[in-house]
Amino acid sequence: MIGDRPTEVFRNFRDHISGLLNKTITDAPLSLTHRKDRPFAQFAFRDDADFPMAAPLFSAGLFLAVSQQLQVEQQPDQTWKLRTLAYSYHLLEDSNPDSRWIIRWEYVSHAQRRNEHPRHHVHIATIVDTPAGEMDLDKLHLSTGWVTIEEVIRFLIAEMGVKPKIADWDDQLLKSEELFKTWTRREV
Amino acid sequence: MSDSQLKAMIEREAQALGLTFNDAVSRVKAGQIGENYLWQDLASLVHLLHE
Repeated sequence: MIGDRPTEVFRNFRDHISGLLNKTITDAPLSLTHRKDRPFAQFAFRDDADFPMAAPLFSAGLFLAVSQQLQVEQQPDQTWKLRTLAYSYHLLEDSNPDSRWIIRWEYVSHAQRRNEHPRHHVHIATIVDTPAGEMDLDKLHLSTGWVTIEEVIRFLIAEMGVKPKIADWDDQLLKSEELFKTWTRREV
Repeated sequence: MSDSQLKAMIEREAQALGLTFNDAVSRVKAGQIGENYLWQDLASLVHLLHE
């Protein structure tokens, strides 16, 4: 990514993701929290009192809470490499934190937590009976690959009935995924 | 954002969870956080403060 300082880089990334969300699943803006002059930041949906919130989704009666924890590292060519240290995407029935959740996609990097459950995982609010007993998918950390915000948006539109503002939403998501690969220098 | 502003945000979210600032930081550092998104946000702010 390009920018003179981490603040500019984080703002550019926040603006990109917020714009993508606003074109596809919600009107709520993402709020950036950044410690001055440090290469770390976080963004989430926040209300007018700067309190985290779950944003209402277009037309589906569902709500999404988003949080990403980020780091940037300046490269020899003066560009910035973006790293995601943690993410959480919670799909809920209402906007407040104690409302019933349906799906929680989460990730915490090894830099923050070790020797635990799968780093990339999902929780699903259900219990499944199996020959080996009950599988509590609410509590278990089901392994996933890297879940991008683009894939969550795609799921919500294609399978949960959220109505996007734009017709070429999948093209926009594909473009965003290519940008993410460039900015993070990784395949997802 | 300054460190004091970040600490104020953490304190407000800790209070909403019925905790003091220090209790919230200890819980996050011990990996003993709740499952709702307020906890997720609080944890990320605590990590931000200590990075």
